[in-house]
Amino acid sequence: MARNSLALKMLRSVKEKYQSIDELKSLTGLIAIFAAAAVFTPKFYLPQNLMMLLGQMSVMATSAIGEAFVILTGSIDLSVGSIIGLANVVSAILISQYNFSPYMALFTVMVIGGFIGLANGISVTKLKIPSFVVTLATLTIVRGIAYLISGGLNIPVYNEEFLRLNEVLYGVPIIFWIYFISLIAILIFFETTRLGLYIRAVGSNEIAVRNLGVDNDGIKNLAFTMSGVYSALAGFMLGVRLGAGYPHSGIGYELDVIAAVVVGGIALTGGAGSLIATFIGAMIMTSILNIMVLAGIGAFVQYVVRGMVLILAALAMRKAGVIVK
Amino acid sequence: MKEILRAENVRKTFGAIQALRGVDLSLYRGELLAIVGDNGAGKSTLLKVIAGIYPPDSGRILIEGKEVHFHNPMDARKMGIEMVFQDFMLCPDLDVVSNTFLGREITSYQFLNKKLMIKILKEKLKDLKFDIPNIKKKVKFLSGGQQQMVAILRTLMFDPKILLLDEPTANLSAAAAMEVMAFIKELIRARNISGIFVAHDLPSIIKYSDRILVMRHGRIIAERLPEETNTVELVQLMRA
Repeated sequence: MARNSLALKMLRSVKEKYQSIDELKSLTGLIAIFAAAAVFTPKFYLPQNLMMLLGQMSVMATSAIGEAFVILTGSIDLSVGSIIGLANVVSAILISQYNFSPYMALFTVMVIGGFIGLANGISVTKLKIPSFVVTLATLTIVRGIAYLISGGLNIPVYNEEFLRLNEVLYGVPIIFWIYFISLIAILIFFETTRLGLYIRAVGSNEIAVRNLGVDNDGIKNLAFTMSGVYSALAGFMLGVRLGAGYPHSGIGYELDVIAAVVVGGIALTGGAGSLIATFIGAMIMTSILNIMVLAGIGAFVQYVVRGMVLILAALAMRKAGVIVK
Repeated sequence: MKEILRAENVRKTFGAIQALRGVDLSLYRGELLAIVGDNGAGKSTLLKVIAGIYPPDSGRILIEGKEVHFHNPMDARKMGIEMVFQDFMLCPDLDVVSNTFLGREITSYQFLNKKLMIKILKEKLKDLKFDIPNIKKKVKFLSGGQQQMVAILRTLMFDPKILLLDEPTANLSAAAAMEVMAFIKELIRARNISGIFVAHDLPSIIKYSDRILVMRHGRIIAERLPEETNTVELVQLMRA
C-alpha cells in the first residue's frame, strides 16, 4: 500500500515536472514524428537527407528566433518573410556588384534588418498601431523595395567565399553552424540577463511591468529589432543556399516561421515559452515537409497537412495550460 | 507623530474627467490610513499618483518634508514607496523569484544573480514567516491567496517606508481577506512602515485602520477615527 502510494506520488511529480517545462510537449511531438518516419519512410534517416534537413531548417529556425522575441512580448511580426527577401537581394547585390566580402554584406543587411525591425517597434510603441497592422504594412513595403532595387531580376552570385558557405563542416552544413551558434549566443543572453527576463515579463503582464517602472516600450522595440536582425541573417543564409538573390524569395515565409514558433510551444498570447522551442518547432515543420516529399505526397496535400499540424499543436498547448489568457 | 508623506492640492485630469480636484493628505509614520469612497471617487488615481504611475497635473508631493517629482514608478520605488494592486500585477509565466525581484533584479556583470536572489528571498520568507512552498514555481500555478502573498512579498523585499494598497483583498475569499488584512496591520506595526489602503469592505476598514478619509468626486470630504464612526455614517458620507 505504502509502496503503491509512493509510486503514485512519484508519477504525479514526474507529470508535474513534465507540465512545467513547456518544450517537453513539442519535443514529444518531434520524437513521434521521427518514430513515424522510421516506420513509413526509412529513407528519412539517410545521412544525405538528414544533412539536407538541417540546411533547410536553418533559414526558418534563424528567422523563428527573432519572431519568438516578438511573440514572447505579446506582439506579432508579419514582415519577416519580406525582410528575408530584402536581405537576400541586398547581400547578393553588395557581393556581386559592389565587391563586398560576404561578411561585410552580412553585417550590412543585419543592420538594415535591425532598422526595419526598430521602425516596426516604434510604430507599435509610440504610434500605438497594433503590431499585426504595422508589420502587415512593412511586409508589402519591404517586398516592394526588394523588387525595386533588384528591378525584379534574379542576381546570381559568383563569389567563391560566399558559395563555400553552402558546404559542410564537421559533417554538418556550415549554415546550420551559423544558425546553431547564433541560437546558443542568444539563448545565453535570453536566459541569464535582465533584458531576456523582461521580454517574457512584458508578454506575461505588460501593465504590471510598466507599473513596476520597467521601460516596456524599450523592451518591445528591442524585440522587434532582434526580429529584423535575425530575419536578415536568415535572408543571407537563404542566399547562400540558393547561390543567388531572388526578389521573390521568402514570400509566405512568415507563416512557416510563426508556425514553427507556435508548434515549438511558444504561446501567441506572449510570456510563455523559451527559445529552444524555436529549434524544435522549425525541426517539426521541416521534418513533416521532408517526410511528405519522401513519401511521395503531393504538394497540394502538404499544405493541408501543415495547417492541420498547426491546429494540433495549438490544441496541445491549450490542453497543457500554456495558453491561459 | 512624525509626518512621512504629504500631498498638497494634487490635481489630475484624464481628458474631460477631473479625477482629482485638489487633494490634501498627510500620512504619519507607523499609521495605516484607509481611504473610502464610491466608485470613481478618485481613490485609485490618488494612490497611483503617489506611486509615480500617473504624474499629477499640479500640486506637490513631499516625502519626509522634501518635495519629490516622480517621472515613473521606479523613482517612487527608489524612495521606498511600494504598491499592492487589486489584481496582483504579477507575471503569471514567471516564477516567484522573478516576480518578487521584478524591476529590481540583482545582477553581477549584467548577468542575473539568481542564486543570490533565491538566498535573499528565502531569508525574507523566514523573516516574515511566509509560507510559499516552491519559489521556483510559476505564479500561474499558485492559488489566489498565495498570489496575493507574492504580490505583498514583492513590496517588502527592499524594506519600504510606505505601502500603498489598492483593494488588496478584493479578489480573495472572506477568510483569506481577513488573514491578509491582519497580516498587513501587524507588518505595519512591527516594522514601523506606513500604509494607505483603499477598500470597499467597511467593517474591515473600521477594524484595521488607524484613520479613515472619505473621498467624493476627486476630493477628500471627511476624516474620521475608526472608533468614532460606523459603517452607516461612512456610507452616508460617501453618498451624500
